[in-house]
Amino acid sequence: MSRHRRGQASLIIGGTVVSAMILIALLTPLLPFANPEAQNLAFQYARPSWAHPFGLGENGVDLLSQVFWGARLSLGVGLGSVFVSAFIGLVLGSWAGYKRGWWDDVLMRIVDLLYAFPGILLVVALAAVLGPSVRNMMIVMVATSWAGYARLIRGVTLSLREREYVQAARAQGAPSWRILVKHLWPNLLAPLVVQMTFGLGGAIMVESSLSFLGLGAPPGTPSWGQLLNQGREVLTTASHVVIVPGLALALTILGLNLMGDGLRDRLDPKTR
Amino acid sequence: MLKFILRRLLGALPVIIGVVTLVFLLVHFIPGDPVEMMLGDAAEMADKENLRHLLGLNLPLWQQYLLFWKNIFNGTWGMSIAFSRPVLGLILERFGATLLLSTTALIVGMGLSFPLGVNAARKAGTATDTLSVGFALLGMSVPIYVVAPIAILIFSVHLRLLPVAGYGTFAHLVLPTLCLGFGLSGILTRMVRTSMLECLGEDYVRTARSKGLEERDVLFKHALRNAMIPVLTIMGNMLGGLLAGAVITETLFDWPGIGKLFFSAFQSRDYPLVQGIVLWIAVSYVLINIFVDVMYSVFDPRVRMDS
Repeated sequence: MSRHRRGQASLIIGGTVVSAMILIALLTPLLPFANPEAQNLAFQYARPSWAHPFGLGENGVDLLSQVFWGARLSLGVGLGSVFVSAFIGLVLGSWAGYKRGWWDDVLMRIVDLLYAFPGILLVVALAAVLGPSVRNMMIVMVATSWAGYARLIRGVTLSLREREYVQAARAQGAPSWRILVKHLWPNLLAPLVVQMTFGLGGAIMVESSLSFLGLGAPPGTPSWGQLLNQGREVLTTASHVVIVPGLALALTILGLNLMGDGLRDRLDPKTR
Repeated sequence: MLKFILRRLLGALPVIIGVVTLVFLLVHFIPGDPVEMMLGDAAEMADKENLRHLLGLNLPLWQQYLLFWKNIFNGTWGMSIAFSRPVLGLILERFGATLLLSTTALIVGMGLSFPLGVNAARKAGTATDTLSVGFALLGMSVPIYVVAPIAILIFSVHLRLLPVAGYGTFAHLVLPTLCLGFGLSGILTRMVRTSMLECLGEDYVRTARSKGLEERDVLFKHALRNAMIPVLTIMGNMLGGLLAGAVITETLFDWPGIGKLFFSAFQSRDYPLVQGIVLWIAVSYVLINIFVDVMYSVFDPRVRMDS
């Protein structure tokens, strides 16, 4: 398969999966699903059946509706944190890349500092300190992920600022903010969107990791990470409790990664 | 070479000071009274005062900061509340287990991804390539807390080949290593493939081929050596991430390393221990990255000249 055709296939498959997940997240409250928190203790961990296609989980909650409501949490927290971090990264990174000087130095030192904490270490530590709640989870995710966007945007801005159209605008005496918003931002969007797609996959992974560790959504909130953690305890007797949310999570991240690949093929001139 | 290493170490100093400061501030991000968070509302007044005193929380902020540095230099790294022992000792006891798991996982990741990635690049555009890319995508997309339970289900529960969890024998090492290694091999396969593809298009590879070198030598001596440079960066990042991100793996497999210690530390709100572990991992990560830079200069001497 040629590179281009593969990119297109990635975009279509990934886009379909992601759109389906977003639709599920949006429509779940309107659909006639069982109350995700309704308990049915007599049938705790019952295997999948016609009445409950995904089976029942801890305390007999309906896994189908838990997984669908979990999609709302994952995508909601993911999209929210990605948009906020990307915006912060765009503003700070483009300003630093365009203006250079002490502002750039300070920003890059902060970015370096945040990059000194590998993986999800800082996220976990901050979440552990702030306590488990959806709001804290968002704060922690934004606080640790804006730096990635800022670094990327700064790098691209550094090369864009030397382009003729930017120099022309500067020669005409356009103020810096105008050059940024009118001339640089539109050209920064392509790499930003690609990064945000991969970032959303990462954010969903972080959300479920935190919930899995008991540092994310408070107990009782339908969340894939929490279901996975509960399922771990009953792995040998009720494997569906792990497999169902596990598949949902893997499928979503797979879809986002495919979509990111496809978008990059299409939008990033370097790989064309 | 020594000068190069020293310069990199010196350059890392501001980052390390920043890391220490941020880790120090961590406890001050706790909403409300940290002592109450650690001991619970029902604790005796005297116990709370004792702990406040022990942690130096009754001192002004700048004195607490100095105390934090003092503890780092006197080799205790503070006192764990849950264990009533110096933090550094606890970390050192468990570091071996984490290092073992990280190294074996990285070896498995490399063992899977190098053949896959090199082969995919060589046969770019064929079915072999598509399969490798698909494998890489799977490795990147399926998190360890999904892979691990499924692997346990297959290998421990149904086939009864390997223990479910625990530590001590080679058999205990196999599942966590394979699960972690699988995750790493995803990103690595992709990096090796991309990097090899780039190098295979270079002039020196064409020269090597045209002078009649064997394909094996062209691939491994000429292309792969150059393709290693970006791959090394990722591997350095991975090793750092492994030392930290194994929190979930170690918890899943009951592996007595730093990750599991970290998990129990934040579960029992043992904040001095949390701080110590975060500091340990961040500093090791910075040092690993310097080591990677030094390795660069082995693969590509130009790097040394540039900086």
